[in-house]
Amino acid sequence: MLMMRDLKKMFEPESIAVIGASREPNKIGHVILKNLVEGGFSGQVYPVNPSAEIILYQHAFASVKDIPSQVDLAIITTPQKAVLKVLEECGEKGIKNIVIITSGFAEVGNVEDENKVREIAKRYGMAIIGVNCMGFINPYSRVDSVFNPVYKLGRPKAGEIAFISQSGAIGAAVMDLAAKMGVGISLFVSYGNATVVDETDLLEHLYQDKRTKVIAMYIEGVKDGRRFLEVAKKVTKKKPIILIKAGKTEAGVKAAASHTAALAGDYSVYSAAFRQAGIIEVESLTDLFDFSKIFLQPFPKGKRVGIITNGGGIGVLTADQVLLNGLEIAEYKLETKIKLREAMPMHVNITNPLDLAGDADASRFRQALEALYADENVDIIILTPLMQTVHLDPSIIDLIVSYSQKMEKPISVITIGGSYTEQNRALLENGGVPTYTSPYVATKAISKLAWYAGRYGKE
Amino acid sequence: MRQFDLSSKYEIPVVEYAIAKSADEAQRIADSIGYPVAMKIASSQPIHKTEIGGVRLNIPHDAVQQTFNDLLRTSISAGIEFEGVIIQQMAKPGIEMIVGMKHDQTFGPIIVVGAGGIYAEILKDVAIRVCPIDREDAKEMVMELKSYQIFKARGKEYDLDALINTILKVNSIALTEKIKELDLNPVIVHSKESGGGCEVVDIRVIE
Repeated sequence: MLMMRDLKKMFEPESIAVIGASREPNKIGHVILKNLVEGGFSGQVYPVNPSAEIILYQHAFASVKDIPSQVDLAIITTPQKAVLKVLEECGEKGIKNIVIITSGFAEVGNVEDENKVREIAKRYGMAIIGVNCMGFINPYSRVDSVFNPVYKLGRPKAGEIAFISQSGAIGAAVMDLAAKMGVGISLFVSYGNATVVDETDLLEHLYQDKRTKVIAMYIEGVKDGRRFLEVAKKVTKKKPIILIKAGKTEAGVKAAASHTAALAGDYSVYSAAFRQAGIIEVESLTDLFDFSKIFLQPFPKGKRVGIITNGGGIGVLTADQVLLNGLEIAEYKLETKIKLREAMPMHVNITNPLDLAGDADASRFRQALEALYADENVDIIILTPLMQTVHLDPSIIDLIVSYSQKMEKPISVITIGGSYTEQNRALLENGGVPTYTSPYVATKAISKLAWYAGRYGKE
Repeated sequence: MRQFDLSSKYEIPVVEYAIAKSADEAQRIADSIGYPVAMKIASSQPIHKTEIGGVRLNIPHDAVQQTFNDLLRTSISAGIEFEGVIIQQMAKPGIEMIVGMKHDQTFGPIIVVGAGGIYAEILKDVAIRVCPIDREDAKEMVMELKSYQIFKARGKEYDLDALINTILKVNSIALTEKIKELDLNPVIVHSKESGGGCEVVDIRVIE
């Protein structure tokens, strides 16, 4: 197969040409240039436009070939008709990394031009992301080729989850969501038609990328199934892959000749392959990040959960989901029980879930958290604080964040409520605590973490 | 016949059968196999035989010729080219499974194990893997089926190793033979107290 591509310069360029940069504020070529110039990219940016001299206070060039110094990355946003010509010029200029935003290729039946793009890339040894894509965001090097204005589409902070998406629209919406949820990313790539660089090349890159701890993916299909499977198997041993697959419905299966073909429709084979590769498949876009972020927690030693709550009902709902998802309710050690009994008022029962009662304040939470954190029989801690009570003040945020930062046991928080609760939840999330608004999602995510830790944690 | 070639080359145990072109021949074959027998429409076309009434079970000596003629009429009214009638020994009782393979357009050869027999497509209780697989994978496939509970629940010990061996044979077929799809359905897994092993009743090859 292909040699592994080196995409480091693609994602961490020192100089970028924006081909098709425009003076018109509503043009894609303008927004991309603006995001680079104003977004804090520290390298050189060269607008390329044959009919402009200055764009956004930057000197513009008629062709990439006129740029006097080396260019690491070219972002092509021209009309479709001009793409092959400017790509050829990039080749002559010696630019090895290209993002082609422009659409109008195989996705609309224009296979011929798409093949020409591939041919040019091969001739010059180029790596190309696209065609028909949004390119990428690297929050570390501040490269951003996503053409949605920043005021309309939030950009996530720098973090440790990489997200690669076949669809640009889904990718952008998920970025916006991640920004709102306070989830940080290491890299976002929308790779469109995968004309040259495909999902498997990106996995290879992320496998090496030191900033990436977890890989989230949105795919509709893969180009080379067997190569994908082989690479994914290798990657999941080191970094978890959380994936959502679109296009699951099984048209054509009914006409299958054999029972086997009827039983193994296209999607069920995908799903089986994901499983074989150790990939964690999720069902919704919100699950994609809800599952990904739990993997930034330390690996649990087992699957025994301790639940701390100040609301009986939410504690019980959580306990139900813990068991339904194959996790266990921890049995505290005797010394933990004694310690808790001595510390807690008599109306608090020393059980699991540990219901600290409606009058619990942050200091009661502190005692409980301290005890369960120290207990070897508790592998995982879930806190379900109802923020709305009279006694609970925001100092509980610092408390949970400080325990979470010890990074010895996974801690997550389920908190349900309106805007006040939501503010506190966001603070926790920003402090690196994975937060959830339902026990259902939280326990599913945690069970995947426990599964992964059991399968790969010791390697 | 391709089916026969495959089963002998890969040593897949198939319940004894022969194809009769006439009612007289059917009687002779049934006599040599021993009663009762199963009788089925033979066809290289991809048809679901049970659904058109093309499968008759537990046929005694006196009903063989009548059944042959019935099946001939059935295949004519279903518009199937008549290639004869399969006369087959009645399979020993056991748990009915399906083992199959197909070439997937994305992942290449894949293997399927599931609850078999006439309800296979209704139950959809299947485990799928991309080939190649090893013995551990094959075992895992069986154990992840809902039907695996049945193997344990009947109070007998069934010959799972025989089933796993058959799965591994299909894995070899998938990797070597140029065929598009293959069904072994049903594969009847016998209990150890009745002698163990497993037997394939029907093989279908789509080239």
